[in-house]
Amino acid sequence: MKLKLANHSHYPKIGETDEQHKLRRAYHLFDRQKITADQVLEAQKETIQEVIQEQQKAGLDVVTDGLIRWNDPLSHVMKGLEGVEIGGLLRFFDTNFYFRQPKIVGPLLRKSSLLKDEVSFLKKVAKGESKVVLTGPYTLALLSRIETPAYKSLEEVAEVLTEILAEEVKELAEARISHIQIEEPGYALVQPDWNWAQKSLATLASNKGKAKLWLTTYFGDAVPLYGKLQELPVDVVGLDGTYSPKLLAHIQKEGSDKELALGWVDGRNTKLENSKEVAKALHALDRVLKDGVCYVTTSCGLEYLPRDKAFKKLQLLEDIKREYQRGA
Amino acid sequence: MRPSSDNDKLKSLGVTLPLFPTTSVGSFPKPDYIKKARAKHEKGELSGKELCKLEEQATREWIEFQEKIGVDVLVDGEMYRGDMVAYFAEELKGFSEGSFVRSYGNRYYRKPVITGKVTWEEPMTVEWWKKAQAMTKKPLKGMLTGPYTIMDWCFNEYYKDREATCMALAQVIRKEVEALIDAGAKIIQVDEPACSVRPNELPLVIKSMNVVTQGLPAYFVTHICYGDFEKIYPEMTEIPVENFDLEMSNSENNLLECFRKRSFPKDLTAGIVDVHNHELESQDVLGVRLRQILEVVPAEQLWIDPDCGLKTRTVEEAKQKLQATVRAAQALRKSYSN
Ligand SMILES: [Zn+2]
Repeated sequence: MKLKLANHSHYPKIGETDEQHKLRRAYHLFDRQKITADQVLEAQKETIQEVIQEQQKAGLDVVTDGLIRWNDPLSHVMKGLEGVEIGGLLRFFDTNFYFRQPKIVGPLLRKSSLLKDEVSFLKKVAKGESKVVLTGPYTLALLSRIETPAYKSLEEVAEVLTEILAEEVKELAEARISHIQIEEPGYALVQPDWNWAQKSLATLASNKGKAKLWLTTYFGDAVPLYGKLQELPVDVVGLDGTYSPKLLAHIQKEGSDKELALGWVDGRNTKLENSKEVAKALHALDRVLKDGVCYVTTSCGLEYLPRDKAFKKLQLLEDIKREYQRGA
Repeated sequence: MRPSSDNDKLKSLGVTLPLFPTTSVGSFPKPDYIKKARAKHEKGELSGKELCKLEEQATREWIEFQEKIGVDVLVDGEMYRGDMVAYFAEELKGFSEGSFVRSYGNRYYRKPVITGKVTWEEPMTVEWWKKAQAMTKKPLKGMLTGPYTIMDWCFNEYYKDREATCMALAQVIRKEVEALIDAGAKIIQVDEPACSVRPNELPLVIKSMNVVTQGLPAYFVTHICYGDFEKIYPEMTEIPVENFDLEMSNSENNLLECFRKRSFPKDLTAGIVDVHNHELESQDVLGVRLRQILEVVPAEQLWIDPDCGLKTRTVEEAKQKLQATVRAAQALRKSYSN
């Protein structure tokens, strides 16, 4: 099979050096009204450029903008919608990272594009293939708090959010983004109604144009979901290998009709995996994945790690590819 | 009736406490002069000895305050500690200082990394416990962070997996517990705030705490917070300690509902004031909270404190919150003696 290296999603915003601290400093100064919003934007842009350079330096085929402008996977998407207020902090799954919980206080409405500015900047800076991330409608609904009689259930909210995100997917396709990643870690927490999930993804897929649509889960055992994920109308299924010691054998047994994005490299721990072992695991899938493309990535976004360690994980992906090709 | 008589354990240790003993979760806010001194020390402008002297002064102030308002089981307030995990990571062998990781918004912390075999070489908290205990005749709790939480809040580059890391940490925390007991500590709190994050790992929390406490002559408390308690109750009460210190002022955590379905089998230290809020609860509000708790928890099992460490509040707010807690407990005690 043909390996392609892809960044998962987010990437650390700051590092150890003074220079790498500029975004943190900018937010701090902005809070104290010492600099303008434009100056913050400038710091964000510089950071995004650096982050993309790091990915290119590590030899990645598919880059992201590191989600540098995002505070968290929930509020960044939801804050732009009418009918939403951003509330208090809640733990994001089993991490030590906290998100601001969206409160749905009225009918949801997309007033304007949610990611337009950041996407156009990404297009400008990234030379090759790039990927844009959208938190999926199910996870958004699951982790939000419904405080309005306008919706009676999580499903109703998720359905409206599907329509809203489909508009966003359409814009991304028009902007000629090559990969669109729908993230649904919520699937592993509480399994959705799979008929509903089918419809939701079909709605999103109908607007994807020439882009590849990814459906990515993480933070949970993917084995019980694997068969259902295979039935969804998406191009790529992204999997977190760190929760499932049996996932490799399961894929070997079941095969795959989709391209896979395999997160065998732990995005939550600084320890570097043995590239030979990961390459060996990938070779174990040669027979079932045949000549298709297989994306090699980390188990989740890299912002759970310090910047220097995140970069080492990206370099590790390159080592894995090299080892894989050597053993071919 | 509760199956184990935990008051008897206290009595056998020579500790007598009133009905509804009052205490604190652990940390108090550092006064400005400590914050400044710590910053100066970091820059190399103040010696460790001078910093320590100031920390002792602040500890003494907090001990005096707790005595003055009538707290029954005291804490040293952790004037000399930074973060509850980083403190132990700095003291133990096998850890390296980590780099910045974001916790939310524009907030970052340094996440420690386990890079070698974790070993206990000498007591980490005993000197401070002795100093603070010498300042009061009332019992002072020994305060430790539990192995599961240290494991969960650090990177691990040395041990095979989470379980191996946690069990290795359990061995070193037991050594610290033994050292505290040798020094005379009778009540020891081992905090496991991370305990409810992965419900499927609760057996590991229990197993590792067993290593920490088994067969040792002390009355053990554990503090757990921000939990999805519904997922781990009642199994969590199998954690081998005598007393669970839980936040109860936050009605959203449904603890009372849990206890109604299955009665709480051990002693309970109920947090009754919110530590994440500037507002001071009225005595009426605290009275209502306590009566609700007493509907499901027998009086002789109940201890009372604030929800969580008070270090997030200003010194003044923290004092008011603690005083309100003690006052509410005293009023309740009075109504029971009549
Ligand atoms: Zn707490």
